[in-house]
Amino acid sequence: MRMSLRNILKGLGMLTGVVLAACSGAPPNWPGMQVGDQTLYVADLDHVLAVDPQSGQERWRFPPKNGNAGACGGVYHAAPAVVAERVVIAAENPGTGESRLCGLDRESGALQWVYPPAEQPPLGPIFAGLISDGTQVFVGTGDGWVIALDPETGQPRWRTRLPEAGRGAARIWSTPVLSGTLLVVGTMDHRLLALDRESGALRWPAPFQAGGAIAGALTLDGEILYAGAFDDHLYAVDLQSGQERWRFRASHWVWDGPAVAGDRLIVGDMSGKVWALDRQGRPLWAQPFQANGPVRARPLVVEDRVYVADEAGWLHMLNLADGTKVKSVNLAPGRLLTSPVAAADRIVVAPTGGPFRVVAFHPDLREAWKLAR
Amino acid sequence: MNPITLITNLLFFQPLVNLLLVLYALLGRSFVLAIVALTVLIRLLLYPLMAQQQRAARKMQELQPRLQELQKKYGKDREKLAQEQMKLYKEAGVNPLGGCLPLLLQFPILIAVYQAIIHVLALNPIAVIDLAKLLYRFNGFPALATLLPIQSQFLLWDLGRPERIFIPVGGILIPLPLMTLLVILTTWWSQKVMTPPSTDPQTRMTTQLMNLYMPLFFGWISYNLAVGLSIYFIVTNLISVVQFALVTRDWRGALARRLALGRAPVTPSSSSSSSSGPATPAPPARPRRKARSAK
Repeated sequence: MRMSLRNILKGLGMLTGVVLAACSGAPPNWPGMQVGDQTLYVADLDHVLAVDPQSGQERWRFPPKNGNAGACGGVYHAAPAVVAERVVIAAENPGTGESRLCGLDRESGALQWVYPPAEQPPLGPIFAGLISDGTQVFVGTGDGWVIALDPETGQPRWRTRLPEAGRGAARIWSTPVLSGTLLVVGTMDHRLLALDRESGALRWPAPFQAGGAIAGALTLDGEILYAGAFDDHLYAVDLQSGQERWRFRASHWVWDGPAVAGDRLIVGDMSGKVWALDRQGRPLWAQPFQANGPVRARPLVVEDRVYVADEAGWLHMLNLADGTKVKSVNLAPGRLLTSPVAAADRIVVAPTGGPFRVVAFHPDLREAWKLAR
Repeated sequence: MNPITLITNLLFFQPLVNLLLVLYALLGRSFVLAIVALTVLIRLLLYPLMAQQQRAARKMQELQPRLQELQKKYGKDREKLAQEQMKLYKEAGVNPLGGCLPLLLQFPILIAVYQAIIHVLALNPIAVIDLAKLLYRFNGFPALATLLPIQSQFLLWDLGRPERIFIPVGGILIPLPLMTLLVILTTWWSQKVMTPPSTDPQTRMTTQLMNLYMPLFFGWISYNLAVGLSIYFIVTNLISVVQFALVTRDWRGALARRLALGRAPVTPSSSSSSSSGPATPAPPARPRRKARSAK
């Protein structure tokens, strides 16, 4: 019954290891993808890659092999923005969750600027994808800031803190959308807010209030804005007034807004169901398609095919007309949480976890190329 | 998902996550109160097990004089000493390793509570993806999901993040880990109160090591993980001391004497025969009910 000191220390060491392993964090987010000028940009945790979508050939990576990322070190998951000569990325300190924005040279991936600079306090976490109107880059942060930057220099044009931001409120996870003079952001505390894209001033008389958190990318279709929410609804909101046009009740949380394809909207939910709706929110398919896992990501529509990525690692190809399945491929243990993108006649997915960073398919889901981690 | 994870989630983790959210809704959307209430509930559930362990600790305390005698008698023959000690434990109905089970049980609970706090706080998208699968739905409606996001701020702290409070001193930022210090202090106190004294030098050394290691270990965890977990540790430690006092009926010893003097209690007989006791005369253990009624 007597235990030696060495055994006790061994036991305590093991205990420490077990607790730390069990409490250590998983990656905070899924990879972000962006296509710009025949190049695919992937922010996949330890690197941002620029890849030729046709061949899968890597053009550059940041940080470069054996290179130093400086103040832009950390993890990368927000979808980059591509504008003029710059690729703008968000780098997160995995310990604190704080982030900085970094401007990279589009051709070489060389670091050009960091915002805020290293001597200034960083931004909050950035999960939302970065977007651009060609002259400015816009980003929403996890602590309720919306920022417009000059992509060439990294200087802020304006910064707006959303009403009630701070103390955990007004977190922005959802990729904003731009329309005319408006920039619309969704927040985790159930709101949609419209800002003036030139000044950052609030534009709607009152924010649109949903019944659940708005975490996913918003979809814009003319004068209608679509937002999924954690109260199982897809909301259609008038862009100019911020008033609700209609809502559609799904079977579970709706994360990303729908894909727009001609007269129909294709939207998935976290129960794995995928619907085609008309512009009034009425289902068009005889029955929704049932995926093998939750559908977080916005489906991709290419011609008459719908590509649906599910969390179980399946990529499904459906008929746009009736939602019937044509083919599925499985990428497990990778989880497909990032929306598929189309580039250079390829359907590209970026799994979360698993052995591959990026996998590209021909439109008929034959594998074209893949990049290992 | 493998079957063990599935069953653990279904039976343990999922109810814990939902319970935490229900408590949050019931307690005025105060997450710190929800964590406190959850901790109290967990301790109530574990009460029979903990009480058994604490009674065993008390019995071990009472056996100390006899163990010391054995030590003196068979000190040079370790095999014989071990045999006699086992015999004594058997006679007294004490399992010397009985105290390990509650300790071991604490770790899966600690991990589950930590994960529940982190998941419910929904601090990043991957955590929310996992949370979506865990939340109960009522009549098809995601009632608990509409509570998201959780208000995670408590005074100076964000309950979902490690505490990083700094004070400027002469132009330098000095960390002020208040919660961590509270965890260290309360862990040390509860260890001190509940660890039975020993006359055996090696056991004493082990106890001293544990009394030093455990507060530092939990302090280190607290500093590096979410502050919500520190709340759990602090409340757990305080409840443990109260529970110990309830079980052993030694309120004065648990709450005052041991804290004030920083000494382990020694039974009258052990103090009389102790060769390594404190320099000052050891106070007698709290009299039992009989003794109290005799007064």
